[in-house]
Amino acid sequence: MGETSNGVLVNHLPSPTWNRLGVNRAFVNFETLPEVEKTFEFTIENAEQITIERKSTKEAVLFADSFSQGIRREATVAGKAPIYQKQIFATGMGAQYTDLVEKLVHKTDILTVSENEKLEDAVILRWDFKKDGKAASQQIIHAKKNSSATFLLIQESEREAKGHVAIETKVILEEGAKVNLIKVNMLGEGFVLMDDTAAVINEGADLEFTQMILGGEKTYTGCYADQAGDGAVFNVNTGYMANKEHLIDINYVACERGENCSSKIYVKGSLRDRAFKTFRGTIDFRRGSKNSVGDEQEDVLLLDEGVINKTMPVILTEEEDVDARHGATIGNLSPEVLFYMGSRGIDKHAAEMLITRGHLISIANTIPDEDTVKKINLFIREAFDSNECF
Amino acid sequence: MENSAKKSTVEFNPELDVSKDDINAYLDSQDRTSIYDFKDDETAFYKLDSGLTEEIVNKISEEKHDPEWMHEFRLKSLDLYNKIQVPQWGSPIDGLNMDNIVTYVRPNTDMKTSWDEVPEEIKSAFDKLGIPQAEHDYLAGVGAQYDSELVYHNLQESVAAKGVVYSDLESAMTGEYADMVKEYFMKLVPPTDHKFAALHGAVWSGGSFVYVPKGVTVEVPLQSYFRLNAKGAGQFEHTLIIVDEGADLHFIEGCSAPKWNVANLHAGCVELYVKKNARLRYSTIENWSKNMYNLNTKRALVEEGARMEWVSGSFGSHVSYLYPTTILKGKDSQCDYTGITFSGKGQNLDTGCRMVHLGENTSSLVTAKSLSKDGGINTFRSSIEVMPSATGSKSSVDCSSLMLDDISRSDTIPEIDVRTADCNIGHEAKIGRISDDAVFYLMSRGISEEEARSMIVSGFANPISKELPLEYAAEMNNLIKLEMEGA
Repeated sequence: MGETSNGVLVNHLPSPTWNRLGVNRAFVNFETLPEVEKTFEFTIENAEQITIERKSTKEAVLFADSFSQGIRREATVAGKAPIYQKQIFATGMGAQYTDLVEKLVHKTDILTVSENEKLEDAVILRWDFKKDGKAASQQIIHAKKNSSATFLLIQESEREAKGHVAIETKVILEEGAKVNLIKVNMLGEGFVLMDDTAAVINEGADLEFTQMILGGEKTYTGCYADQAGDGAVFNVNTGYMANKEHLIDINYVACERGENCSSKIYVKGSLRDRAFKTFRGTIDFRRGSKNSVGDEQEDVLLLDEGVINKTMPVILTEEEDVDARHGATIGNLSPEVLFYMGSRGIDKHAAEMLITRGHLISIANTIPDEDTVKKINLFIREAFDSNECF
Repeated sequence: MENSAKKSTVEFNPELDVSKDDINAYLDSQDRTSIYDFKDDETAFYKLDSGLTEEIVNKISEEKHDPEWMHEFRLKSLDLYNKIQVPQWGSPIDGLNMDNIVTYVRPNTDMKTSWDEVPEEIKSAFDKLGIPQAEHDYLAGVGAQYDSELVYHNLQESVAAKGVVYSDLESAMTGEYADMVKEYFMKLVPPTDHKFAALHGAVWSGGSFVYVPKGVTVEVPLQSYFRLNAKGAGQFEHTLIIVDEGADLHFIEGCSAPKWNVANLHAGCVELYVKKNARLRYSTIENWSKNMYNLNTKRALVEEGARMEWVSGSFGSHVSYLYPTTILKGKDSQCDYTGITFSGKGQNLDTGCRMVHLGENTSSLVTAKSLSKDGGINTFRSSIEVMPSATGSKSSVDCSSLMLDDISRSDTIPEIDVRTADCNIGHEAKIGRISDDAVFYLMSRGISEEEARSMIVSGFANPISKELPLEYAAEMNNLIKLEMEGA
């Protein structure tokens, strides 16, 4: 399926459901992207710890695919092959988005962590637009055997700024490697962010993926983790908040292929005003993923009457010897919590603010960069202060 | 008549205080494998040609003596059927070719109100299924459909005296309740809903109409039983139930068919109207043969303070699409869905439910279980939709699946769509296998491994079977036992 004339279809649910629910995929309409001229490049901090190579995108794609080739064994999902896995290196947002990024960028950065190297400081890729701007970028993180590294990707701007950003990050984890990949969106209220992640996780390797979606008018994001090796680990910890008429559309897929794999997808967030959020989370146990476990949970706090929340916690299983769970809780604060807060002099609005901040800050505090944590704190505080409710 | 009976046997277990012969005699008496899989000679029956054309729809309409509005309705539905696409989600239905399906088969009898008057060959089919006995023992009324037509319908006099109406739909359409049928027929499931609703609108035949007047409680259940005997045929019965204000009804639906080597199709439609403060329980034990495409549509509209209860056991068919939908329209209305699905060899069963919360303070509770075995594919698909008007609503979904071997498949695809902050929605699901520890524990007490696994599965299904009348719970447990043989 090719890109449509005025946009791309992204975030395909691996196993489609009733069309009328409108969750099988999302559509990014190019006609509604803000018009901006200025193009941005990211800056990179602590780069001396790794090797950076800028290759033609075509060459880089072949390089990444070489790590994914041979592990694509399709399952029969609900009797039908998934529609989006034509990609050799499967991504969360899907083939049309990858095609778009590859058209927009001509060069791809390959960030390599050497074998057995344990990086002390986080490598930070920063898109600090300040004012209006646009950017497109593709990078490949290659963590060689038994290496360990943290990569922090931050997009930020002033609150009133507008623009659009298209990012794709592919992560290759060789045997025993560990990568903390942290993505933080603190963009202004006129930004559209498309941010895709894909990973191939080999034997004993571990991808810890943290995502904070705090800003932007529209955020489309996905992550597909191919747990190809035995004992591969993929953990997701995501926090989001959306207000006004902001839109967040998320698609996470953990595909467990090896034995003794483990995945956790934990997502927490709050919605205010007329915000619209869709979360698709899929744990896909392929035949052979014996003794593997998977757990996903979304907790959503709904703070205003006009919000729309869609949650799809999906589990696909073609392996008997697995332990899979999912759950979701959606609603406002319980009367018990409000009563408790009230008994301590905290009114309903203040209680909602405290709980929301608590959810997000608990995730932010895991980011190993003090400056970023402070910025996130400030961003959240300003977001609440700017809302009349608070 | 062909009969493909299969006997179960057990090896002698010295730990048990009964002989091998006793056990095998018991299993013989309990062996229900064969009771659904018998075929009757239908050479004397009236059949239309296979396929779906305007001419065939006109012939069905003529056979049914439709009022003009219904004839037009059928033709409009056919037009819709030709325009609507086959669903792109769900289990594959490539093996279903409408050109090969006979949409109307009429047995050589009119509908009777006494079993003695039903032709012997048809009566014998229902005898084998235990329907006359069930009616005698614990039902207030029975409708029995054979292929495309009702062959028997009866209601206890004491229940009829309360004003309860239980008749075939065709009679209701032209009799005293004609206006009511016209008002409600395919309003809840319009032919525009999906391709197979349109198909149903075009070729529906048979089914029941039930009306329970205000304040009337029907103490014992009513039952409709659907038997599809003809090779390569479709069954398209329509069930329309209206439970008026403050009334109470338990309706049971059963279905079966013999196994043929060609596809059969069931595209029935169930429309349930539960009025203010009324209660309706709709129980289904479905055991279609494993060449059947079961593409059935069930929907309930629940008014203020009313309660809808679905109890569903899906064991048969080759492919199923079955998602009872409940529209909680009235304030304080409630719905419980309790369902179990068992997929075995060659089966791809896509089942679940949909709850639409519209009224204030509405609540829904979903408990779904599924088992997959011998390469069977199970999909639990659900949707909980809480609209802006449904403030104060609550919903809880609990879904568990057991995989009984490493060649089967089990998927859960739930969707939650919430459009008000003032609600409380919870969802939980787990998929796993039978615990080795539990099997070991039972085996350490002298129970064979097969029996231990069967006991664990029965325990897993217990929350569903306890919702059924005793006789049906026993039937369901038998079906589980049969499916578990050799697991």
